[in-house]
Amino acid sequence: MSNGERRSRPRRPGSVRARIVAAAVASVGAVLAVAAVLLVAAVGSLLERPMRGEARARAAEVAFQFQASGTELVADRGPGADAAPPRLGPLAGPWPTLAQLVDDDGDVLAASAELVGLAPLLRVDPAEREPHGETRLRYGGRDERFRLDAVVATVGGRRATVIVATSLGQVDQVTSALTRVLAIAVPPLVAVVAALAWVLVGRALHPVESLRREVAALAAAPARGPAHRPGAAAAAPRDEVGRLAGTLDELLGELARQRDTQRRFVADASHELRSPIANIRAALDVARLHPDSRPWPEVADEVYAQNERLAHLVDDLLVLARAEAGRLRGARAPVELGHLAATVLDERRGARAEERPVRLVLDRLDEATVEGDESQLRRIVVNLIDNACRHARSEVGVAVQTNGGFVRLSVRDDGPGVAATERARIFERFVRLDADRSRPGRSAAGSGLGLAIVAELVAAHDGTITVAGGGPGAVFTVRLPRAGLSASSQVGSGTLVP
Amino acid sequence: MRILLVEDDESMAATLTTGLRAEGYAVDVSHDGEDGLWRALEEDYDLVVLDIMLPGRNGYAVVSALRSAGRTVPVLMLTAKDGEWDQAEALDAGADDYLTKPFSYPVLLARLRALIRRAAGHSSPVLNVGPLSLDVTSRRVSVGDRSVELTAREFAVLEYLAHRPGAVVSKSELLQHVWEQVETTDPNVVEVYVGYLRRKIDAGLQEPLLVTVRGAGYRLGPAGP
Repeated sequence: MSNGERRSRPRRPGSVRARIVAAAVASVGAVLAVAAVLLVAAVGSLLERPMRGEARARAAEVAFQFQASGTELVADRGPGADAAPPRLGPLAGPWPTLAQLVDDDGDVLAASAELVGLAPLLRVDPAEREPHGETRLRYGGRDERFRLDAVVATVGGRRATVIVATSLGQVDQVTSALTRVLAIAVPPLVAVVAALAWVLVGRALHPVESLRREVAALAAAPARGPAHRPGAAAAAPRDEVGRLAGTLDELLGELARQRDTQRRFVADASHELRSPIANIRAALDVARLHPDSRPWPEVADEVYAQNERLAHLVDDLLVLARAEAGRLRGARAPVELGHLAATVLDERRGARAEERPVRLVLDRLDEATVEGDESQLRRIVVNLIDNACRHARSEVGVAVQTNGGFVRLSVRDDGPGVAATERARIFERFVRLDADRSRPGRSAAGSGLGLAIVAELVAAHDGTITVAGGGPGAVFTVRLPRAGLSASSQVGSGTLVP
Repeated sequence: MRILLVEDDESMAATLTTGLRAEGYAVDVSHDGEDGLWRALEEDYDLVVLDIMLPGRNGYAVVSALRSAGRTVPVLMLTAKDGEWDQAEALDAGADDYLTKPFSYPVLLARLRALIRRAAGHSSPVLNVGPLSLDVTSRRVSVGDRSVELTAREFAVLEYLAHRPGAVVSKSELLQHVWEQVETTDPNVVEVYVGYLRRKIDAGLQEPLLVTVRGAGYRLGPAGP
């Protein structure tokens, strides 16, 4: 999709893409933020972990320093006895460390220089196993975070508590540096994810957009839409979108085929409708311009014949239109097909007497009843016999026979037959095989709709039609379900009817 | 003027044959493309009227074959196909004109006359040879101020000659282009009709217009360059 299109309809065409990207950015951003917070916390606690062990060593050192200073440990020196407790010297260790020595009464016995005058930093609950805490102290001119550990020590045979304060300044430096690094690195990472998602989703949705355009073009001009290029989606990956594209592609192809068929049908129909109209007009024009060139009764006969041709054609087209609309299924009544075929044969013998001498023979006649619309069944028989007569050299044979649950109506001729390659085509509309057309006397050729109508009518009666014989001779066979048999077969399949 | 009509619809072919004959044309009919092409190549027609949907060989193929054989005979295509591409294809294949069915018969006649006129190298529907004036459209003939009444056959002979003023036209050529059953027609019938014409046209003229060139044929007007 183009930028312009997105700009003009900001929320429509790009919305799926934008939503997917937004979701990706939100989730990746959230995960990274949580991970960063946890990482900083973990690094902090990892750096703090050795401090407890160090605090024990410092406590032992404090006890040693205190004893070495020779100060007596007095149980109760009384208020104001000593203005200040003795100072502790600087303590060793990897981190700046301060300490207070506190007796069980909570009095400070000794303290590092920086802690002189301060109350005990940690209130120790005797039940606590490894009492520790945190505080802020001024140290080296800065306000720093300190970890506090309380360790019990024995000084001069008496129990006392050493409160060790370890500076967390270095830890804080490390974690704040890490935080800065993460704050710089995470947003570009999220941006990369967003860009990647934008590109990948766009690529995945590309076939959808191109198909949408094609469908839109087809919808805008269904009759004159651009010729469908098959395989427009072939380049798409075989994922869900690709498969959707493939399916749509097939649909478009099918629509294009239907459109072509429709177009061809309209062209053929207009050609067939125009011919008799043109003939009538030409005959009348010539008769008017040259009144003496042709006797009027002859002109009338000509016009009448062309009018008949037109009427038949319109009739046939209406049947096909009804078939198209699925309205061929008319009244259903039992029809004796054998009787019907014999009647039609008799009528045709009379009607065709003046035309080419083709013998009409009844090959076999079983009593066979089918369910259907009598006029439609009659049309099937008439059209098949007419078609056969048109192609026969000398003889047309009709047979009706029962075969299990079916009735078979077959019409054979001794004409040139139907080539195997033409057999599917022959039931299409306006298809006249070339042999048909080169026959002298074009008027003998039908409209090209007779067999198409037979095929539609047979289908409407749940039957099938086949053609056999590559010459000499063709056989058209219609298979229709026998009336009443479907009911009896249901009885056979289990239900008992008295 | 001799016309070949290639049309597979029997009704249309019969109607047009009747009408064109009444107009004074000699008409041959062919019902399929192969036969039509063969006739057009074998005989010397003044015009071919050709349907497109034909058995055997369609109209496009017939006209292409005619043109590639070097035939310049005017061809008018007549068909019920009316797509613009059908018309374009017909003209590009070598047809000179195109008419869609259903057509108006007077228009067809006018177009045939125009094609014949153009093929003979004229643009005016009135042919003048000396004092003779022949209006192809209204079929009126006059010599000077005097109007002359002619039968259809006489008009056809005069029209053929008037299209070629000053040129010698043989008896057999006239027979071919004006009469239909060439094989069964006595060539002397040409002499008879030329005699009728001469009586009607040359009456009162000091210099005869219709001249017999001994051993060669006939000539209308003074000998050309």
